[in-house]
Parts: sequence; structure tokens; C-alpha cells
Amino acid sequence: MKKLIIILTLILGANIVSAQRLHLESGVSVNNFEYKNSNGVRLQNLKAVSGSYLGFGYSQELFTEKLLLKLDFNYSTYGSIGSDPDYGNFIEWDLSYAGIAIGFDLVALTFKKIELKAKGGASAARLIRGYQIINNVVTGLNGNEDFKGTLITPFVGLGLSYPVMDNLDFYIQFISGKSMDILDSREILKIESNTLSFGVMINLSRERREKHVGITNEQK
Amino acid sequence: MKNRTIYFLILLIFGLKGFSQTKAISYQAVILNPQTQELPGQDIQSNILVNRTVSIRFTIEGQFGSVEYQEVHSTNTDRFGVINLLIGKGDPLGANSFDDILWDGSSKKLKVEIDFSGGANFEPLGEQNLTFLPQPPSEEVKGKLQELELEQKDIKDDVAQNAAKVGLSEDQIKTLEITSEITEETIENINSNTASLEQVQEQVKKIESDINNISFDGLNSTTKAYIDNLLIAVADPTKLIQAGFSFSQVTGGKTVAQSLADGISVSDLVNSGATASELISAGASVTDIFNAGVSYADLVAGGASVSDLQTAGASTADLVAANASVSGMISAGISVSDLLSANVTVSALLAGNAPVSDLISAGTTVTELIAANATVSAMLTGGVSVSDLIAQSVSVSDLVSGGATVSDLISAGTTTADLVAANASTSDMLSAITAQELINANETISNLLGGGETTTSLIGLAYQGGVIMFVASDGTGLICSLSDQNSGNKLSWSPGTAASVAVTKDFGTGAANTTAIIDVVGAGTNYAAGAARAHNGGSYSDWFLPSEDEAIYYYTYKSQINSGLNANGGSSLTYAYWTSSSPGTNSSLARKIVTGTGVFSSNGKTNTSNNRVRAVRAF
Repeated sequence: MKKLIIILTLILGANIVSAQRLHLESGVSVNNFEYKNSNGVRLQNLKAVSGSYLGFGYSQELFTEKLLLKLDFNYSTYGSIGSDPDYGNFIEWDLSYAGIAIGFDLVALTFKKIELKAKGGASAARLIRGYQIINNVVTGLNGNEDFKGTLITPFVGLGLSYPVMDNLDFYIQFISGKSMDILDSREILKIESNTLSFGVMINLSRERREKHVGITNEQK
Repeated sequence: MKNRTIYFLILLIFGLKGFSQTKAISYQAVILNPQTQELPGQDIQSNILVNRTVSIRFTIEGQFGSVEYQEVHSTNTDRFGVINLLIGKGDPLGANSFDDILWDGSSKKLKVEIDFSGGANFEPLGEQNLTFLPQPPSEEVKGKLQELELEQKDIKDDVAQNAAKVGLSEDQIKTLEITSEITEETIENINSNTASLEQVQEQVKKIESDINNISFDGLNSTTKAYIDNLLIAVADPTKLIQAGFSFSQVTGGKTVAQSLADGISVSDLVNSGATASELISAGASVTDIFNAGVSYADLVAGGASVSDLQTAGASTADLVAANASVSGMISAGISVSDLLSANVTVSALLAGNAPVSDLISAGTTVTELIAANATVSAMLTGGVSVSDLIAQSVSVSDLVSGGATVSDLISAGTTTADLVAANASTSDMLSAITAQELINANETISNLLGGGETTTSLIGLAYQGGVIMFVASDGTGLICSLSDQNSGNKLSWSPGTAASVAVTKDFGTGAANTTAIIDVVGAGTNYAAGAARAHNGGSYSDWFLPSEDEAIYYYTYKSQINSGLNANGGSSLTYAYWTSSSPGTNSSLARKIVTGTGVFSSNGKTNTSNNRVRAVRAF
């Protein structure tokens, strides 16, 4: 048993050492709130707003070079805007979250050097800044009971990557997610987000470069 | 363009005029939704209530919180939550209308309540003081004022007419007004006797004060004397009464109860002529009334209770002297002996429900009780013995009626005959006296049956020249003679030839059978029917030979009959006895009963067949 553990550790360790990558990505998001009050009545007329997204992280191949395990640290802004025809109220939210996400990239298709990747994962984030505007009255939301919780958002997406250098890939991705209910009451609040981002991924290991070098030598 | 402007101005002028004539208060408010709107983050607490039907209740309260007017509006908020209402144009609650509000300058308050659901479950919305100027009199009000002025003039005329009651002339009234600053209204009230005593006395104090401070230089002696008289009169209600004023006039038309409630003292009311009865009915303390000088007698006459009189200090002697009710005194705990000591008669005490036992305990003799017409029942209940009553010649009948027991009566020497004559209860008598004794005392068989004896228990008792051999439930029956007829020797049914008579065997026909036989055979004692009829036991002459259904009781109750016969010097039923019946249509045979077996058999009627005869009679 000990031998098995040692062997698996060595394989995984060798793999990690051989497949480390860093990535940095940034983009814009379109997001909106989905809210129902304690009577189950949906707040109508909420409109999506655009936000920004910034993330960087670490990824590595897992078992195969087609599967990347990713760990991100990210910063996102969310919000929603709307008016209430019943009462004539104008309402707006602007929130900034910082969090961590864990996910995977699976190379689904390779065409020449372009790889189509399926993406998935989940993020957990905490509010770091936010405010709410009701009829031109601004109220800070830091410490507000409704936004004290952790925003947990499962997401899926698609991405295209292209190796612009031996150790540098450029990629574009579209991620869509909808958070779990963040309110600890009979009210329900979920945040929908659709993010389009661009990023670069740096391959820290030498394997790929050598792989390309090897091909060059054979061609030679 | 110019025409349009003119039209607009005309319209505006008429609009404003119309509005200014509206008797109402404009009310505008923005209604906020009482419910919090939940939102992510901060909730909204004060949304306006948009396009909703709400009920508004306006209440206008007077200076001391009294509701002067109340109305309800049902209205809709607009898209800004605003309502525009006219207070005075809603649905009034209660009898008052908006026009009834007297805008006289006293402070008023507007309370606003709302039901957000448009119903009648109101909750406070706001409260504010109303600021306003006293309303200038309208034409309508002016008309009312004129009516009031006319009314005042009438009153003034009345004053002049009534002034003589206190001896004031119109000039004197004016003088008084001028010199002592007594208002005309006061004088009116005094003269017309509409002022309450309290009001008058208050005014008197003012008059006294004023008079002390004014110079009398301007008054002649006559006027001053009138003032003095007035002061005396209004200060002393007794003098007003003496002067011919009624209590109602002195107290301004108020009842005694109202005057008491107004705080006028009992003493003043007594002085004003209030009677004890009125005061007591009005709830005045009897003690206060007594202290105000009303006598115990008047208080008793006025309905004061004995206990209240005692509280007021009345002694038993006082109460008796005041003709207080004896029953009331007894109920109030005054002892019979005290009442007797206070010379209340035994009769009065008895009439006042004094217990006879208390009277006896207090030393009243039976003679006095009887003389005072105490009932035998009450005396017996009160412990007077039957013997004592008999000794006082109370009849047994009265004693029986009064509930004396038979045993007590017997113990007191009452004879059974007296008891029976006095209609004493048979059952009671039977518990102490034997049925035979009661029969001997001429008690009826019916009463004995009603008193507990049975139709069989009476068999064998001596009665009316024989012993009872049968009793029916209605108290009738048969008596068996003490001995056999013909000295116990046998006799034929029909001597010589067989008498042919129509006789029956039925119960109750023996007497008729006997008469029928005698009619055929002829009088005589040498045959059964004749011997039976000839018997005169108990000096009765209606003895007869029993029919078959009557003779059967020889056998049925033979044992009891024989016991009775033996006990009363008779002889037993031992043999076969003739009945007055014949067997069917056979005219040559007659029936006899063998008393040993109860069996009937037939014998020839003639001398060849002889049997014994035992006469019976019916009762």
C-alpha cells in the first residue's frame, strides 16, 4: 500500500512539475439579478448591467495534456438595475466580489493549432464593495445582511486557444454561470453572469518547447 | 385669444366663488404603503400607496375630546399615492352633520384614521389641531339669533311678571344690576326661579361681596331693604319655601335625587321642603336626614328601614313610638322581650311575625297568646304543650287543625271519640289506637281503609251488632251476627211446603231474597229467612239470610270471623248454613254452605231438610 502511494505521488509529482502553467485573463461580463421576495413574488423589470472581470491563476495538466485543472483568483463586478412600476421606485445595485474558482479545461477539438475547450467549474466569492441606489439614495451594502454570504457560482463555458509562442497561448472564452441563492431567508437572490474574457497562458515547463523542438529536428 | 382669456377668467371667478361657499375642509394627503417592500440589500419602508382604494375616517373633536362630528370617505389613491378629500362631504357617522359643528373659537382637533384595505378597520393616521376663525353668522344663523332675542325678550317679560314673588320691581332689578353688577341673567333666573339653589347661592356670595364693596349712597332705603330681603331669601331656602315657593322652584326644577347628585346637602334639601320619603328614595342617608331634623316618625312614614333608623340612633322605644313596623324591628334583630318591654302588644308582635317561642321565652303566657289570637299551630310549634292548650279550653278540633299529634292529644287525655269527632288523621290515630277502638269510637270503615287498614285486616272486628265478615274497597261490607239464630238449632228453609220464590245467588241480593221469601212464606222465626230477618243484633232490623255469593265469606274468612265472634261473646261458624239462594230453577231445593269446606250443596226446602241459620247485614 505504501509502495502504491509512493508510486502515485511520484507520478503526480512528476506530472505537476512537468505541466505547470500560469494564466491571466480579463473581460467584461453582463449580469443580472434574479430575485423573489418572501412571498415568492418575482421582482419584475430588472435589467442586466455590464461589469468587469479580472482573473489570474494556475493550471496544470491532469493525467493527460487535454485536461487542465485550473485554480483562479478573480475579481468580478455584478449588478442590476430596474424600476418598480407598482411603486415608481428606481433601484440599482453595484457589487464587487473577489473570490476563488476551481475548474477544468477539456480540449474538445483541435484544428491546426487552435484548440476548442470545454470549460466548467465553480467559484466562491465574497463581497468586497457594493452599494445600492433607491430613488437617488445611495446605501452601502458592506455588512448588509443580505450580502454577507459567500457567492457560490457554478459555471460552464467554451474557449478557443491559440499558441502564439512555444510557451504562450492566447485564448478567448465565454463563461456563463448562475449563482446559488445567497440569501439566508425566505427571499431568493441569484446572480446571473455571462463573461467574455481574453487571456494568456504561460507554460512554465520545458516539455512543450522540447516537443516542438523535437518536431523541428525530425523535420530537419 | 382675447375671448378665451375672458371666458377663462369668468370660469375661474365662478369656480372660486362656488368653492368658497362649500362648507367643507379641504384635505390632501400622500398615503404611504404600510408594508415594507423587500429588496436585496436595503428594503423600502415608505413606498407610496398607488392606485388603491382606502377608507378614511375624519373625526372632529371638541375642546374636551368630545366627538362633534365624524364621517367616512372611501377613495382611491392616484399614481402618486395622493388623496384629495373634502371634510364635510363624506358619509357622516352619528346624528351630527358637518353643519352642526359650532365654530365658536374653542379649540378643535382633527383626527384622521385609515383602513388601507378600504374597509372599516381603521388605524390612526394623524391628529392635528384645527386652527380657524370663528365663523361669521350666516343669514341662517342671523335668523336663529333673532329668534333667541325674541325668546330672551319673552323671558324678560316673564321676569317682570314674576318679580313680585321676591318683591322686586323692574326699577329695583335695574338698580340691582347697576349697583351690584348682578347680571340681568341672574336676576332673571332668580325671579323666574329657574336658577338652581347652588347657582343662586354662588351668586349670593358674589352679591354679598359686591354689596360690601359698593356705596349705598345711590340707593334709597326701600331698595336697600329689598336687597336685604333678596339676600335672605336666596340664602335661606326655608324662607323661600315659607314665602310660597315650591321645592321645585327653590331647587330650580330639579328633583331631590338630582339635587343630591349636584351636591346640595341633605340639610338644605330638608330645609327646602324635601320630604323624608323623597330623600330616602333619592338615596340620602337616614342618619343625615335625621340629623337634618326629620323625626323618627317621619322617617318611618317615609319608608326608612328599622336598621337604618337604628344606625341613626333610634332606640327600641323610639322605634315603637315612631310606629316602626314590628316585623321590621324583629327582622332587624330587636328581641321580642325588648319589644314587649317597649309596650308592644303580644298581638302586634304576633302580627309582626314574632316567633311564639320567643314570646313564650319572653314570658308571654298561653292565655296571653290565646287572647292575642295566636294560632294553635304557632303555639304548638312555639312549644306550647297540648295539655296547656287543652287546659286553656282549646278544642280538640282546633288542636288537630293546628297540628297536635294524636299521641300528644291522647296523652293529654283526649278520648278516641273526641279525636274521631275532631277529624284527627285516621292514620295518626291508627298509629296510637286500634282499629277496633276507632270503630267503637264511630270511625268509618272508609276512613280506616284510608288510614292504612286493609279490607282483610278489618275482618272479625266487632261492628254494628256483629263482626265484620267482608269489606269491599269502597268501605261497604257484610256483618255476621254473633251467634246462630234459633239458639243454634237447625231450621227448615221453608216450613211446610216449599216456597216458590225467585231468588238469586249474586252478591248483594241476600236482603232482597230474604224479603222475597218472607213475602211468600209470611213472617215468622221458624224458618231460615224469617229467623234471619227477625234478628235484631245491635238494634238493627235489616239482618237477612245471605245469598250464595255472600255466604261464601263465611268460609273465606272463617278463621278471622270466628276469632272476632269468640272475642265478642259469639259462637263460631262451624256448621252448614242456609243461604237465601235456590239452585237454578228448581223451586223445591235451596242452597246451603258447609263452612268447613266452603262447598255449596242443595237441600230440600221443607221440614225434611234443616240447616243452621246465621244472619248477616250489610253496611
